Parts: sequence; structure tokens; C-alpha cells
Amino acid sequence: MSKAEAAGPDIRRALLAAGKQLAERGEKGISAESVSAEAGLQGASLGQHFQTLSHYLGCLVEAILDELRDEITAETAKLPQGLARVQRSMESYLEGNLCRPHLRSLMATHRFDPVVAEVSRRRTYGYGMLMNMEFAGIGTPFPAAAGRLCAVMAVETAIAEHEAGRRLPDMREALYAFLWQLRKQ
Amino acid sequence: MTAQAVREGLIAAGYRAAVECRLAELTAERIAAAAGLDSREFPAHFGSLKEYLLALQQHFLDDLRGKIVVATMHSAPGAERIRAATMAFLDGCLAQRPLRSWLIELRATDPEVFDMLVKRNAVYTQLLRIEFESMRMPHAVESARLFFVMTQETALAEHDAGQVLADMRETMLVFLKVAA
Repeated sequence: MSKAEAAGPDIRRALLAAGKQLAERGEKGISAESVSAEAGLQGASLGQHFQTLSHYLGCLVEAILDELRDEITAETAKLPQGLARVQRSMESYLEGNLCRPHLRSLMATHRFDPVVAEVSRRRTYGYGMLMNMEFAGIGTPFPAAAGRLCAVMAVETAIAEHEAGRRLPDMREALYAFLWQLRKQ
Repeated sequence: MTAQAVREGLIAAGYRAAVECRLAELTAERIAAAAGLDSREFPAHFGSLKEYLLALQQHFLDDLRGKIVVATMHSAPGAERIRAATMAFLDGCLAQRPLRSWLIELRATDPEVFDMLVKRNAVYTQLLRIEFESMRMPHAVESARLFFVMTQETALAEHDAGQVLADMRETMLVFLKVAA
């Protein structure tokens, strides 16, 4: 392996960390130049490690969503299977979004970027699949439908809370009321 | 033929063209030909293809609203009217699947098309809120927003599947039982 190849993953990580810092500071126009400068690398670095700026932004959003997923997993993995765990995972998801306003800002700013949109769509789908397994395990009718719908409702609540800049207890309560209603079908 | 009739002819041609071609293949010439017009007439009615597509989306949304009104006009406020409106919305979306393919693609890439949809969706959410309030649904404002996002997701799932998805419809309607 050449020195350049060995350094590749580290440089990618440094570029993603730099993008995250820019996003956290509320920088609106993330560019190849601003990311490379933040990372202390030469201007051409981004293009050497990511196909396009669009792909970079997709990886950046994905990296932040990975952090969030790991947090949710850590908080819920040891809980017994059931609706209480689904609710806890939603709570954790919403809290994780609230303390990462840069995530929702990035996703909103780059809503029309096809790579970012695809990352967002895929992650929501994945979240729905996880809930599908949970619902199937406890015998909820139509677990796939329930998982998919609960996932988009959780995302919508996260967007509403981001717009409001605070928790929206009424919206969370409405979300959880639906969740528990699923058991009573 | 009046200008209004020509415009209507061009809009109707869009629905037919959506069956035959992808959005990327769409041109003003193709629409004009489908409407039986000389392509040089197109700009007199729609300044650009973009303007035409915005009008096409507006037409689809207005038509959908009309179907919902017909489906609910004799119902009293409440769960049954919401159910009827939701079914009319979903059936109306599925019935225009080819055109919806264009519109879904456009909304993902064009802020103006997206904004038009957001405005119309805000109206639906307000109407739902009023219905939920009449049912004494807890947190009517928030519930309306959540119910509408479920409706959109179900419409998208049915669009992808090309058929009614009874499981999705039944599951989303469970939401209405919260107020019961």
C-alpha cells in the first residue's frame, strides 16, 4: 500500500470532521475550499477523496446519522423488546436531533441534492425496518406498515422540533399515542 | 379555439404524455404535438416548459382537491369524513400514477414546484386540524401534521407499488382511534 493510500481513510475522516465543525458553526455554504481549509489541507484534497461535493455532503450527513444511530443503539439495546423500547428509541432519536441542529440544517439546505436526499430516504427506510422487526416481534398487525409510518412520523417530529428550536411535548405525545394505539388494534 | 381551451388541451396532453415518456424526455414540442398544435404556439400559452409543469402540477392538485370535496361533501365532520377524504386523496394519487412520477421527480429537484406543494399541504393540514378539533382529538395541530405525513408516505408507497396497499391504509387509520 502506498503512503497516499494509507493516508486516504485518515484524510477522509479529517475532511468529514472539518465539515461537521463548519456545520456546527452554522456555516451555510459548505464548499470544497472551506472544508479543505478547515481541515488544514490543500484546496484539491476534497476532490481526491470524494467523487463530488455532493457525494461529500452525503457522506457528511451519513456520518452524523451514524453517530445518532450509535447513541440510540447504546440507549436501547439492553431494554426488553416491545413498544416501550420503540418509544425510547424515538425519544432518543428526537433528543439526538435536537442536540444536533446542524444535522437538520444540513439536510434542509441540501434538500434538493440527490445524494443527500437519497441518504435521508435510505436512513428513514432503515429506521422503519428496525421498527418493523420490533413490531413483528410483539405481534403488531402489519408490522412493515407500522414501522414505515412510525419512522416518517418520528422524522416529521424531529423537523418540527428543529423548526421550533425546542422540544414539542404535544407532538411527541401525539406520536406516542399512535404508537400505543397500534397495540390495541 | 379560445386561449383557455388551448391551455386546457395542452394540460390534458401532459397527462397523456406522462404515460408515454419520462420527464427527462419531455419537450414543449412533444406536448404541442400531443395536443395537436404547432410547437411554435406553445410559448404563447406557457412561457417555458417549467411554467407548463407548474401549471400541470397545479391542475393535478386542483383536480385532487375536487375529488376530495366530492367524496366528503355529504359527510359530517369527524373520523368518517377524514377516512373518506384520505381514501379519495390516495385513490386520486394512484389514479394519476404516470403524472405523479413526473411530479415526484420534479418536487425532489425544483424548489418552486416543491414550494407549491408545501403550500397546498399546509391547507390540508389546517383542514385536518379543524376535523380533529371537532373530534376532540388531543393535540389537534400536531396530530394533523403527523396524520398528513402518514398520508403522504402511504401515497408514496402505493405509487412505488403501483397498487392500493391496504395494510398501510388500515394502519394509518388507527391514528383516528386515538380520539375515540
